[in-house]
Amino acid sequence: MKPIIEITGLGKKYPIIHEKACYGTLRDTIMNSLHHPFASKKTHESFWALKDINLTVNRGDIVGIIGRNGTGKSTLLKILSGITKPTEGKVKLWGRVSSLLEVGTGFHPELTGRENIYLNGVILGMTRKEVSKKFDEIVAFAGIERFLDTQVKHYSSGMYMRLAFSVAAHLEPDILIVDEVLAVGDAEFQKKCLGKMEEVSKEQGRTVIFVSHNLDVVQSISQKVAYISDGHIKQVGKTIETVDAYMSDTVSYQAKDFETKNKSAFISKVRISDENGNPSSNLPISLSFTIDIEYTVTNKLEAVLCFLFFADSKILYAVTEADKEGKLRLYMPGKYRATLKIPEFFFNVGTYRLDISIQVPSIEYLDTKEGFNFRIISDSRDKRNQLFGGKVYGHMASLLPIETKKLQ
Amino acid sequence: MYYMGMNEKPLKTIEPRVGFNPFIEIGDVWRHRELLYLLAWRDYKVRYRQTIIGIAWAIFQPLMAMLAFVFIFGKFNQITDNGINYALFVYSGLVIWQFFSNSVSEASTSLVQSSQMITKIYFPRIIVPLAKIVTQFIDLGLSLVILAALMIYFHSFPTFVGLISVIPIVILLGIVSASIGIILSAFNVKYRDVQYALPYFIQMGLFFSPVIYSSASLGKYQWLLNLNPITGIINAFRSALFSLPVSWTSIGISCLITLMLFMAGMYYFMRAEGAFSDVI
Repeated sequence: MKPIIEITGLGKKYPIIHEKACYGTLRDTIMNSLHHPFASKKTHESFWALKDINLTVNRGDIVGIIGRNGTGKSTLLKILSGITKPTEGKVKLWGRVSSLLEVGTGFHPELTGRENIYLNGVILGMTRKEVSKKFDEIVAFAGIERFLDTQVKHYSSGMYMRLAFSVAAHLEPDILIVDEVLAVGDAEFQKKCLGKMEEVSKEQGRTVIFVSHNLDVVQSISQKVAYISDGHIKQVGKTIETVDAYMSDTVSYQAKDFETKNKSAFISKVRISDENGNPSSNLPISLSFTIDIEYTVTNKLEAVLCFLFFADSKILYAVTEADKEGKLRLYMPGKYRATLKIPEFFFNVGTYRLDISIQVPSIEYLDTKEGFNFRIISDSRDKRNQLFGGKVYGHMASLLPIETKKLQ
Repeated sequence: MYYMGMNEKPLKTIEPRVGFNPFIEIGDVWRHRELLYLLAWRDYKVRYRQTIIGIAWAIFQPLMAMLAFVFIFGKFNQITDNGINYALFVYSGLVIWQFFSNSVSEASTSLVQSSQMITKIYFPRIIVPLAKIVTQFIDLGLSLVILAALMIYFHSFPTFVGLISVIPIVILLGIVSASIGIILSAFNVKYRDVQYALPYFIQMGLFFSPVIYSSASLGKYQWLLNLNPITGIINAFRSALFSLPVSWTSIGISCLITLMLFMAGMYYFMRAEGAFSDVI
C-alpha cells in the first residue's frame, strides 16, 4: 500500500506562559528589557505537547485517534493541517489536506446561507468552481433549501450546524482531518455525517484522520487506531486491540500529586472492576461490576458525588449520592471511598464512557475525572442475543418482567 | 519497509521553520488567491448591511470631511496658491488619506478579529490584512467618481497623461497601505497596544500630511513632511489631476520609503506568522 502521510519523530513544545512574565504590553516588554538588559526573554519552562510521534497512514484508510483530554490529539491535528509548526520532526504528505477542526469556521452571521456556502467552501480549501458544482448537493444534504437566502443569524442552531457540516462533508481533499466535531448536532444528523465519512473513504479512496471520544464510532468506522497518551503514541494498530488497550488503561486512575494541589476536594483514585474485584474494561452483561472512587475533602463543605454514563456522546444515565435524599451531603475534611455497584443486566452490550465529579450541582465542579471507558460484552447467559440474531438494540438491558394474560 | 510511494516527492512537507523563503510564501498566497477575493468580498458585503444608505457611506465620509474643512477655514469658492479651488484641493487629498487611514486601521485589527479562523484552518495569514485593503479599493473607486464629478463642476479637467498617471499613484498608495497594514496587524497579534494607539496616530497623521494645506506652504520644513510616504502620493496625485509641477524629490522619497516598508513588512510578517496560532 502507498502511504499518504508519513510522520517521523514529530514533536511540539510549548512554553508554559506565566501571566506576569509573558502577557505583557509593549511597555512591559520595553521596561523589562531596560531593567534587565541582559536577561534572556525566553521562558525556560516548557512542556512537550507531543514527542516522538511516528505514524504512517495509507491511502484510503480511516484512522481514529483516541486518548484522554489534553494528551496532544488536537495538537497533532493542528500540525497535520499546517495551522501550527512542529518543534521537531517531519510530516510528509502525498495529497491535498483539508481540515475540519471546528464546524462552521469563517461563517458570517450577516451573510445568507448561499453566501456562506461559498465563503466557507473556499475557506476550507475548495475553489469557487468546485463549490458551484457541489452546491445543490450541499444544500440538499443540509436540508435548508427554503432558507438559502436567509441570513445565517436567523438560523436555528441545528440548521446552522447542518449547513456547516454539509459544506465540510463535500470537500474533496485527498486527506480529511476531523476533530471531535461530530459530538454536536442531533443523533440522526451525526449518523448521516458518519455515513458520509465512510462513503468518502470507501468509494472515493480518501484518507480520513479523526479524533473522537466516542469509542463506538471509532470501532465501527476506522481501520486503524492510534492511542495517544501524554504526548506519545502509546499504541497504534488494529482497531479493536488499540481501543482495548486504551480502555484497560482507563479502567483505573491514580492522581498525580500536582493534580491535587489547592483543591478543596479531589478524586485520587478511580477503578472499574468486575464481579471478582479485578480491574477490567470488558464486563460480561450477566455479571455485576463495581466502580470504586477514593477522594479527599480538605475543607468542610457540602457537595455530592456524581456519576455520568455516556453512550454515543450523550448522557445515558446520571446517578448521584444524593438521589434519595435530594440534598447535598455535608463533608468533613478527610479521605473517603465510595463504591457504586452496577447490577447485572443493567447496561446493554456496547461501549460506554464514565465521567465522575464532585460537585455542588449547577454551582461548582470541585473536581472532575473524565473518560473512563468500559465495554459490556455478551455472554452465554445473554438470551436476547439469540432472539435478535446478535443485533443489539438500545443501551439498557434491565430484564423487566412483562406480565401477559390471556384475555379470551 | 519499502513503499512505492516513497520515491514520489511529497506534495507537502511540514517541518519546523528554518528561515523563510519569500518565493514559497508568495506562491502560497497565489494558490489561495480565491480566498483573498472571497474574504474581501465578505468584508465588503457585510460592512454596510443593515444600514439605510448602504454603500453611500463610502462617499459620505470624505465628502462630509471636505465640507467641514471648507466650512472651518471659510474658504468657499476660494482659490489656493496653486490655482485650484480649495474644496477640490481638500477633497483630492482626503480621498488618498481616507484610503490610507481606513486601510491601515482595518488591517491592523484584522488578524486578531480572525483569530477563530487562524487557530482552526491553515492558509497564508497575510491574506487577512490584504483582504481588508482590497476592500478599500471599492470605496476609493466611489470617492474617485465623486472627485470626477467635482472636477467637472469646477471646470478643472486633467490632461490625458495626468489621468493615466493616477494608476501608478494608486498602486503605490495600495502598496504603502498594505505594508504598514501587515506590520501593524502582525504586531497587534502580540501587543494589543496597537489597536489602542493607532486611532490617535491616524488622527494626528491627517495634520502631518498635506491634506488640508499644501506642502509648499511649509517653506523650508517641507523635507520633514516628505518623510511621510503619503505626502509624496498626495502631491503626485494633485500634480497629475490638476497639471501642477511635479515634485520628483517628494515622489522619489515616497517610493523609497514604500519599498523599505514593504520589505520590512513582508520580512516581519513572515517571521511572526508561524507563531500566530499559538500566540493569538
